[in-house]
Formats: sequence, C-alpha cells, structure tokens
Amino acid sequence: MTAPSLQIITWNLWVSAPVCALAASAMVTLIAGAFWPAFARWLTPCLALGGIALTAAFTILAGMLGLPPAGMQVMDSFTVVFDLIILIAAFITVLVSNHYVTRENLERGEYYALMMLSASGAMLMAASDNYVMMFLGLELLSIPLYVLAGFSRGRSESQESALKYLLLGAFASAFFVFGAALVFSATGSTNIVVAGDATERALVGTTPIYVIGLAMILTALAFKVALVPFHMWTPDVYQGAPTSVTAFMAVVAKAAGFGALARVAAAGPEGSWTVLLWGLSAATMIWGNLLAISQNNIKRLLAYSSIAHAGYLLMGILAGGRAGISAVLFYLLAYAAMTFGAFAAVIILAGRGDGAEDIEDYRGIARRSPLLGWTMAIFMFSLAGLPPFAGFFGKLYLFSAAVEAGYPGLTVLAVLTSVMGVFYYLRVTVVMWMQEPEAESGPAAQTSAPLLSRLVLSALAVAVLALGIFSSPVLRWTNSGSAGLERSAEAAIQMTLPEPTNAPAALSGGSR
Amino acid sequence: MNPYLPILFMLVIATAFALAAMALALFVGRPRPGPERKFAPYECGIEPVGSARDRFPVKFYLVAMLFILFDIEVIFLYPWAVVFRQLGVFGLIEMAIFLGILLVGYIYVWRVGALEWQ
Amino acid sequence: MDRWVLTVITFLPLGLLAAVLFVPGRRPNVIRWLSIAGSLVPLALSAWLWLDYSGGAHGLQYAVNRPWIPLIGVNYHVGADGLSVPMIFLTTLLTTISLIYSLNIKERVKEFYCLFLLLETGMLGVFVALDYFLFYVFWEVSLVPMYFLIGIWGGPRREYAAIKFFLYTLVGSVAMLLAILAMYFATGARTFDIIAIAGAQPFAGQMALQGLVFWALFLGFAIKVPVWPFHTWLPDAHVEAPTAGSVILAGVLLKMGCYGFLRIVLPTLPEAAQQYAVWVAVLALISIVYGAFVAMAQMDFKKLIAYSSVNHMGYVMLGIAAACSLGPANLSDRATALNGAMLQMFSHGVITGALFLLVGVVYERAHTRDLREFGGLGAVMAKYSVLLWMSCFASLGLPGMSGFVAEFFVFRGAFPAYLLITCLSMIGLVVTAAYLLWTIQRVLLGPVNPKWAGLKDMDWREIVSVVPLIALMILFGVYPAPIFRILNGYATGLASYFVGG
Repeated sequence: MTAPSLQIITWNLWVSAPVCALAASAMVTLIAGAFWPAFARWLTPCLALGGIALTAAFTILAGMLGLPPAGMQVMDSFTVVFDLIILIAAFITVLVSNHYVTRENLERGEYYALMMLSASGAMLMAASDNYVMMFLGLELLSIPLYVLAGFSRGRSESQESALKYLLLGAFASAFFVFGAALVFSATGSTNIVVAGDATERALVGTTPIYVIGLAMILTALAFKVALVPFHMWTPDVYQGAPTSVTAFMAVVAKAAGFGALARVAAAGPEGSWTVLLWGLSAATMIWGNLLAISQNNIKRLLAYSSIAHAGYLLMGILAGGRAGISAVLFYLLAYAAMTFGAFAAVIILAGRGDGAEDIEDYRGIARRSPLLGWTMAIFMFSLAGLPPFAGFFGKLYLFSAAVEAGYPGLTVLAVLTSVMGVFYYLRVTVVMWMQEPEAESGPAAQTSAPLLSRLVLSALAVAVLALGIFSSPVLRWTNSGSAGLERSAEAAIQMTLPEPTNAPAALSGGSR
Repeated sequence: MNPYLPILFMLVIATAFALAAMALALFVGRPRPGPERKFAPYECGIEPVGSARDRFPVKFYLVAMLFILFDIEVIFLYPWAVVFRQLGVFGLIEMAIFLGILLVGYIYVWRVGALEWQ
Repeated sequence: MDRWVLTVITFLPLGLLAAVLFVPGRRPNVIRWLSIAGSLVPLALSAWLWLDYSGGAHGLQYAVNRPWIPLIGVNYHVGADGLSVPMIFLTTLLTTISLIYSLNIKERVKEFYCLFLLLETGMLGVFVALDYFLFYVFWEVSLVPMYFLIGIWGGPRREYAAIKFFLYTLVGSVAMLLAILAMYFATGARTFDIIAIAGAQPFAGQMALQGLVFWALFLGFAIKVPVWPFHTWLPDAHVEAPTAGSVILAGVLLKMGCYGFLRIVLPTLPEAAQQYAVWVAVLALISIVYGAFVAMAQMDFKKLIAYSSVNHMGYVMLGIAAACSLGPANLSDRATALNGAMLQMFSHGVITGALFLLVGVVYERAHTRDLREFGGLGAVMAKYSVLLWMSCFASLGLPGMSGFVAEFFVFRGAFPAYLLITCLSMIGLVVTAAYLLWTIQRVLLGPVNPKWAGLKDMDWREIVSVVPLIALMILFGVYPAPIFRILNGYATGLASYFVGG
C-alpha cells in the first residue's frame, strides 16, 4: 500500500467553519462555566446563544461563498438550510432549557457546552458526503447526548436513560462503521455518492456485500431517528432524560439522522433500498401511533409520537427528489417548533422534580392557565396535523411528494395512521380543557413560570401558526436546500467520471 | 516475496518461543510449589497485605481515566512526527489546534477540581 | 371595496377575536357586547351582499385570486355565487343570534366568545373558498372550535360527544383530503383551484378512478350532512352541545356537507355523480324515513330535533341526487330539484336554529328535556307557545312557511327522476308532521304540570334571538322570490351539466 495522498489538506477551511465555530463556542462556554461558576446561571446560556448566533452567521456567509466540495464535507445549499434548522433548534433548546435547568439545579457550564457540541455533530453529519466524516459527526452528536441524558444525576431514571442510550447507541455506531467498511470493500470508495454511483454504473455491480453494508448503515441511522423496529430505546430514554434534553434529542438527533439519510438517499441507491424504506416507514407510522394511544405519561406519549413522525419523515426520504427532500426539511422545521412547544409546556407543568408527568395530572389546566391551555392545544393540533398549523402543511408537502413519486399506497396508510394519531393528541386537550381541575393529594401540575418561558411558549405557538399560513417563503427556502443536494450529488459523479474509481484514490474523498 | 510472509514467520517464531520457554521450565526449573503459594493472589512472590476486597476511593478511577485520556491523545503526536516534514506548516497549525483542544480540556479538568485529591 | 368584501366578512370575526383577547377576563360584559356588536358588521355586509348580488348563470362575483403558496399552486381564491351568498348570510345571522342567546353563559366567557368568533371565520371561509386547499383549511378550522364548544360547555357526556364528533368528521375530511390530492395530481396543472379543476374534468372517461374519488368525497361530505348510516355522531353532539353550539351545528355545519356536494362533487365528477345518484337517493330516502321514525321515538326534546335534522337533510340529498340522476329528467326538473335543495339548506338552518333555541329556553327553566314531564306550558308561557307553534309548523312543512316551499320544490324536481323513491319519502313527511304535532301536544297542550306552573315566559334576549328566524321562515314561505333570484342561476348552471349526457 502506498501512503495516503495528502490532497486532504487542499480542502477549503471555510467549508468546516460553521462546525468549528460552534465547537469553539462550546469550549468557551465550558471554560467560562468552570472559571466563574457563580455567574453560570446567566453567563453560560448567554454565551451559548451568542455562539449559536455566530455559527449561524458563519453558515450563511459560507453558503454565500458558493464553495466547491472539500473532499469529505460539502457546503451546498442543503447544508446551509439544514445547519440553520439545527441552529434554530439549538437556540430554542437553550431558551427552553433555562427554566428547567434552574429549577432542577443543573446549572453547570457543561450543560450548554455539551448541547452545542452535540449540535455541531448534527451539522457535521448532514454536511458530510463521506461515510467516515458522517461517522465522526454521528459520534460527536451521540457522545454528548449520552452524558446529557444522565445529567440529572440525582434521579435514577435519568441514569437508566443514559445507560440505555449509551449501550444501544454504541451498538448502532458499530453497525455504522461495519456498514461503511463493507460498502468501501464493495465499491472502493467511502464517498457516499461515488459508492452509490459505482454500483449504479455497474462498475462493481450491486454485490451482496454492498447491499448488506448499506442495510447496516440504514440500521444505524434508523436507530438514531427511532424507526420501528429500532425504536425500543426511545420511550425509556425520552422519559428518563431531563425534559429539556429530551426535547433536544427528539428534534436535533432526529433531524441529524434525517440529514444523513437524505445524503445517502441522494446518492441514489436503488432497488432493495426503496423496499426497505417503504417497510420501515409503514411499520413506524403504524406502530408508533398505535403504542402512543395507550400511554399515560406525557413524555412517553411524545416519545411515541416522535416515532410516528419519523415514519412520516421517512416518506419524504423515500420519495426523494426535490419535492421529497424539501418536504423533509420543511417538516423538520415545523416538527421542531411544535415539539419544542409541547416539551416547553411539559417543563412548566411537570413542576419541581418532574413530579407531574402523567396526562391525568393536567386536569383543567386550561382554566388555571389560559396560556398553557391555548398553546398546548395549538401544539397538539399541529402535531395531529390539523390546518392551519405547521404540522398540516408539513404533512401535506410530504404526502404530495410521496404521491408524486409513486407511493399512493403508503400515502393512504400515512393519512389513516395520522387519524389514529389525532385520538391521543385530542386526549391531552380533553384533559386540559374539558375536565375539572381537582385538588387532589397527588403531584399538582404547575402553571407558574418565569417570563422567559412564557414568552418562548407564546413565540413557538405563533411560529407554529405562521409556519403554516406563511409557508410559501419557507418552502421556497427548503426547496433551494433540496436542489443543492441534487446538484452536489451530480457534481460528485461528474468528478469521478473521467477515470475509473479505485481504492486509494477514493480514500482521499473521491474528489480532486 | 509475498508481503504476508513475515507475519507467518512471526507467528511461527512466537509459538516456538512460547513452547520452548515452557519446555525449558519443565527441564531446568524446580516444579511443585506448595499449595499455599498456589492459592495466593500473586504467585510470583509478593506477599499480599490485607484483603483484596477492599473499598478504596472513587478518585482513583477519576485519575486513571484522566491519565488514559491524555495519554492516548499524546499517542497522536507520533504519526504526526513521522510525516512532520511532508505536512509542513499546515500540519504544525493542525497539531497546535489539536493540542489547544487538549489544553482546554486540561484547564477545564484542573479548574473544576478533578485533579485535587480532597 | 367590492372585490374584498368577502375577505372582510370572513376575517372580521378573527380581528374581533384578537380584540376580545385583550379584554381582561374579569370584564365579561365588555367581552359579550364587543363580540355581539362586532358580529353585526359581517351580518350587515352579508345582507348587503344579498341585495347587491346580481345573479346570472355563472354568477361568480367579488372574486379575489392571489397566489398563496405558488410552489404547489395554492391560491387565495375567494368568490361568491348563488350557492354561497345565502349560506354566508345564514352563517353571519346565526352567529349573531347565537352570541346574543349566549349572554347567559357564565363560565369562561372569554374563551366561549373567542371560540365562537373563530368558528364564524372557519364557516365563512368554507363558503367563500374557491381553492381546495383554502377550502380544506377552513373546513378543519371550523371543526376545532366546535369541538371545544361541545367539550367545555356541553352536557354531562360532553367529552365523549366532543371526541366522537371530532373523529367522525376528521375521518371524513381525510378521505376528502386524499380525494383532493388525487384530483390535483390527475389534473396535472399544478393548481388547487376548484373551478379550474372542475373545468379540466380530471377523470373524464375513467369511471373506476372517478368512482373511487367520488366515494371518498362522498364519505367526507356525507358524514357532515349527515346521511344515514354516518349520522350517529349527530345525536350525541347535539344533545351534549350548549344551545348556541347546537344552533350553529345544525344551522351551518351540516350545510357544509351539502355545500360540498354542490360546489365540488357535482361539477367536478359529473359522470360518477350521475352514475351513483340512485344510491345517493336511496341513502337520502333512508335518512328521511329513518330519521323521522327515530325522531318520533325520542323522549328527549333535543334529541328529537337532532333526528329531525337527519330527516330534513335527507330532502336536500334527495334534491341533489335527483338533479344529477340518470334518466329522462329535463333541465327544468333538475334545476327545480336543486333550487329546492338549496332553499331547504337555508330554510332548515333557520328553522332548526329556532327550534334548538326554543329547546334551550325550556331546558334552562325546567332543567329537563324529557317530553313526558312537560305539558300545558302553553298556558304558562304564552310567547314561548306562539314561537314554538310557528317553528314546528315551519319544520313540518306547513304551506306559507319556507319549509314547505323547499320541500315542494325538491319533490317536484325529484318526481320525474325517481318516482318510487320520491313517493316513499312522502312517508317521511307524514311522520314528521306526526311527531312534531305530538311534541307540541306533549309540551304545550294538556293539563299544566304543577311543577312547571311557575315558569317565567321568554325574556327579551330569547325573543330577540328567535323572532328574526321566524320572520325569515314566513318571508320565504310567502314570498320566496328574493332567494330564488339568487339560487336559480347556480341551480340552472349546475343542472345543465346533467342534461343530455
């Protein structure tokens, strides 16, 4: 073997600037929290917000530069759109966390630093066009999440959640590495597009090794986004983790997985891939919605609902193309707004020590706090997919993309399962609005919250409504993202066309 | 020559060496140590002091983990040293960033008091 | 100004809602009177619309068409024609009346009025929308407030009734959504415009697919109407809903189902509509006869009126089925049937609204709706007695009242198309007369039950709510020309789809 060529160095540093900016901000936050623990309460969240805003500026700037692929990472419009979605989600997480972290005495600089590191991993995953880089992103996303899941050290549920997530997550990571290795051995490239293209152009043919490798990668990503049957960890981990971390996990980790899936899907793996996705999507929608119906704990209910939503999102990946990926991006944004909203309400309602997490604890809350009642109703109706909220528009774009791509059967299934979903979302509104509040001895749900929490809650409700009614500009924006994904895939193939791929050249990322 | 041949040689030599050592002990050494030695935790001679099932501070683990972390990271310096000339200034900056991140970690660990025994 | 009048009517309640939100909840009277006064503006505008509307065959007026989500071809397209103008007026009228009647709501006043105003926007939106997307959005928007109105201010089984109402309607509307997507992709023009898609006739000649889409849409609208056997949510929802909720539910929401048939199904899928019209007619017949007999068996006053809605909406469906029947019926027959159906929609809204209000009046005094316990109220409550007599007569189709005109037109139009079915549905007329007269006898006549001797007669709030409705019943019963002037253009235009085909 010759020494790997050193072309890696020629990459454009701008491409990784956003990820680096966020990671650097995370380190600053970490050190600041360690040096001035007395000010951690307000200093670290402020630093986190500042770092996220700075990263967003870098992302927009890097996007405007129109950078070529840099070997293992691409800064195309897909990356820009996706990174901004992640950053918006991270920004909201910081705002939503504040109340929770203060109440539960988790005020340590590490909290925000870990979250930012995890978000930078999510960004890296979606920006990578190489399995090796994607794995790096996957780990950078996951490892801080394992810590965060167990961040509430005093509660054994939190520790259980962390351990479960760590063990199963490590397992999934192993699947990813093994899958990437098999794909590499079958196609001679770790570049996602080049590997997919090599099989398509029958340079190596669709060997069983390639199919198995791809299936293993799919398994790992399916674990991250909680697709049935790789969802078993979700309810336990979501329930045990600190609520603000659960919200982050439900949105950012899921989004990262879908970003990676979009990259893999854009490489155009044919044949058995679509069959697999079809089956996974159908199973996830049915099973997630079915199990959600019988839940009594609000966090478990939201966990199962997040599984169901992963099923809908997968439809967009399956449909692919400009419309499908654009719908996925739009839905992720809508999903982020409504999921954060629901969790923000749960954070307030659960009260100190997360005592009141059963749906029954929320009897008559709407009467005690109209704000919580109205906003929670909006989030529930949006999650259920009712117009004029963002959830409906997102679902509609996904469904119409799926119909257009030739999956009417799956669409009918999705519509039917979303009716099933309405039932359990309605239950929450029934309890909150239509039942009488009772002065019982159990853990009473709280309705008092600091001004910031109430503002965030209202802003998210408005966002859910606005994303629905004024979805046109947002859709145009996400459309530009999916167009960028297509262009990058084409460009990567163009670059490999002149000469046949071979293993050493592909090691350098398939570009020169 | 087949590039894997040296590995075969190494396997053969390793096996032969192990077998030879055992055979040599059989012939040269004085076997049959007493039963009290057989059941001791360290057969090679040091007398154990007290029970091995003892509680000792969790801080040991912390120190051990920190040691491993920084120790492993230092290993990355070796491959860099090998290609130092080819990588040039870029490699130097790259390594400075890497060590900078390590330094941040070190400062953090030091600042939160993980290095203090009490 | 003309072009935007529909937008103003539709979104004014929403603006009012925003204003009400800023009134503190401890000043309920400000909230009440602000809402009522505000709701008079859309009412006045819709009355002006009625007078200003000029009719004509394809008399689409006040149309506004602006891009909303251009990427997938969604437009903000609103307009009014002969079908929608009376419905818009009915909606604003019944909303104002409901708001006045609901002055007696004491609990959670602010939420009640906010939800009601949201409901008004949703309903008006359905009647003005000319884009499938917009239509669907408003359709669902009208669903949510009604769900809360039933669930919060309803009777003892309100949670059950609210969820049942919501899920039933939702099942129908997702079927409709699938049908809309199918039409959208079949048209291939990347437009959700109702009129453009109807003009493109997306499934011309493809009977299998057209049939599928037809039945999906049928499910969506038939649940709302409701047509037997999809009616089971209706009695529960009506019995549990607060009085004002029942008025809107029966007066407007049910009409949205019929409106869907007339606006969407008939023009867009004429072949399938013609093909399956006889099945629709049979279901309508069952609704008429079954609804009447079940109503007769009720001991609960409100449930009786609820089942009478099933019965009366059956006439609308019969008229619609007759208008698109296969067979010899000529243009005039079909147009007559449609005119009757559309008048019945309006007339039933007015009559049932009044009846539900009157049930509410007596329930608030007696705290029971059991017909066996009443008796002799005519002697105790004179004004009430007069108004109930008149409403019941209008409902059973006494000549001189609007119900008679509507039903007569339906039967006249349906006769050439479905001789047997029309004759059989006459049974419904007889039974309706029987149960309504029997109800009057049980409530107003006979010896006074001493328990009710002290009941107060209707106060000004109740009289103001009911009297305008009675006036409309008589007006259109005696002189229906003003409403036929508006309806006839649309009816004739729609009927011409089915002549000679």
